[in-house]
Amino acid sequence: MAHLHELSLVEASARIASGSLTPLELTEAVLARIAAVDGVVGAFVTVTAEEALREAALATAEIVAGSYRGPLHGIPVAYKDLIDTAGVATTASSRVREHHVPEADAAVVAALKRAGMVMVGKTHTHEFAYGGVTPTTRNPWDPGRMVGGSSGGSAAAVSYGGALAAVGTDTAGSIRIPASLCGVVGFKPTYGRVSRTGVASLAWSLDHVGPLARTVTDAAWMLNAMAGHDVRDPGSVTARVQDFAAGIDDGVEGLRLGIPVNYFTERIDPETARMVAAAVATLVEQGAVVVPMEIPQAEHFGAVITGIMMPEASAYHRRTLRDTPELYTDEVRGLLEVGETILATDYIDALRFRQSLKAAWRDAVVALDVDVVVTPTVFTTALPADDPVYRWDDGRVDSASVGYGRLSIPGNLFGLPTLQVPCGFSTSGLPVGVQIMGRPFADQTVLRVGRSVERVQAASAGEDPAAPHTVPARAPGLQ
Amino acid sequence: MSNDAIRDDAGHPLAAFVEAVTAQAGLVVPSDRVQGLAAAAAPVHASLRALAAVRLDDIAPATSFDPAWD
Repeated sequence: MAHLHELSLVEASARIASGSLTPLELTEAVLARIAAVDGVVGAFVTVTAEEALREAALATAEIVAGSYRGPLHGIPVAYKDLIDTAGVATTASSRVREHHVPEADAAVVAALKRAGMVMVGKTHTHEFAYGGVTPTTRNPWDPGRMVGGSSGGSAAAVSYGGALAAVGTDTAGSIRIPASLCGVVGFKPTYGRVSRTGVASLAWSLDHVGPLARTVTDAAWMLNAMAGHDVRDPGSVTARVQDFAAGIDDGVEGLRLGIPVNYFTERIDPETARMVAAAVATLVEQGAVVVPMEIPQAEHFGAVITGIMMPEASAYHRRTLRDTPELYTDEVRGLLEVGETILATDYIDALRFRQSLKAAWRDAVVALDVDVVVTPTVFTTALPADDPVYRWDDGRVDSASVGYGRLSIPGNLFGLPTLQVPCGFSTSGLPVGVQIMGRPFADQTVLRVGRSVERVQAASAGEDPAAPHTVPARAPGLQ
Repeated sequence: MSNDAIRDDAGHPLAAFVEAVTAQAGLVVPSDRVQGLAAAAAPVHASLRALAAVRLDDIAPATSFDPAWD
């Protein structure tokens, strides 16, 4: 029988609703797990144990009194430390904001609080989310390995049982990359679905907020509470908020999977490529159709996102880079300074280029009548923390900081709903993930495909594939 | 400042360009860091020069990013 900290959100919610588990019991178990292993992993900047116990006791009392708020009521959650939490330090893992204690909750925190979630703490990020690494955090599957970033603390916390779900941000893969390396689900919804009010920006036109969780359905339930229009966020959309879990178990019969024949097939670790191909094969066995797909103009993806992200980040940090440059790490200070040297005409050309690339992607998807594009999430598994490079047989080297984000870029450039789902383990015992990219606002379809991958994984792990929500054991090295 | 003074043959920004643009923008970069900043900026500017070589014709930038396709 699973420990309480190993439950999925859906499983814990069912127990809470039935009265067989209280939010207080669950929160105590999660806090005990944090106390036992976070010294090794370092997922949390701040653990709000006292407040969490108080909120959990209140949730327990509310439920006993018949005031059940819904499926997230009493569920422990962690927030990336880029996301404002009233009265709790929100540092962006930077000395620049070491003493920043927000007066108000970010919109997404307020929404999940209304749904009854219990915050257990704030999780580490790369400084201001400006990097594909979370240097303070180690991988729960192997503490000698990195977690990727920038939502690395959130992914690690969910992976080891320090929260049943977490919230992260994704500007160039920062939810999906660490979720893949830590073996959890990470979802970047369509651009504008979730408000960014109260969330420190990396690049306004690329930033997304989304959930990290243990199962696809967990993530869908989180998104149900997180999504919605917010007039304070100029990127927020008025699109109708769906029930993102509706039809999630309907399978993939007849769906058309775009399988790239370029870009996403280049410089991929062979074992990762084999495992993702196996995941695709399982979808085909369930009735999906493979459609080979040439990715148009892919050679420009990296330059275009660089030309947009760097100047936007430097604009966001313009004042503090002048007032207190010494408080930034050398790495992030250097990136911000480089962004200052980019010409306005180059930035605008990158924005124009994005429109061209987006149109080409749309045309390819529409012409082939593709529902989702399926690829590896990251080109390889978690690299050693003290030597974060991948060495190819031909002598080439890819660094984690550059290589990890290469496959995530289209999701951010085009604002597509994009899901990372675990698809097994490498021979060295590290998680591998598959990435599913949908059409704009087809978040439900993406989640449905991800759930189909997940069901097969559960079956291959010896769990009951007929059970709606099964969870493999996690992070055995930390037991 | 001529083009020769701001970029080398590969399109990389020279230290003089970095020094000028950061001074113009009111960003203090100590002189001992200018060379390093120019080197760090070099691959970024080179990739942007490659983009600039592609004709975009009349494509306009979106004034706010909308993911919708219609």
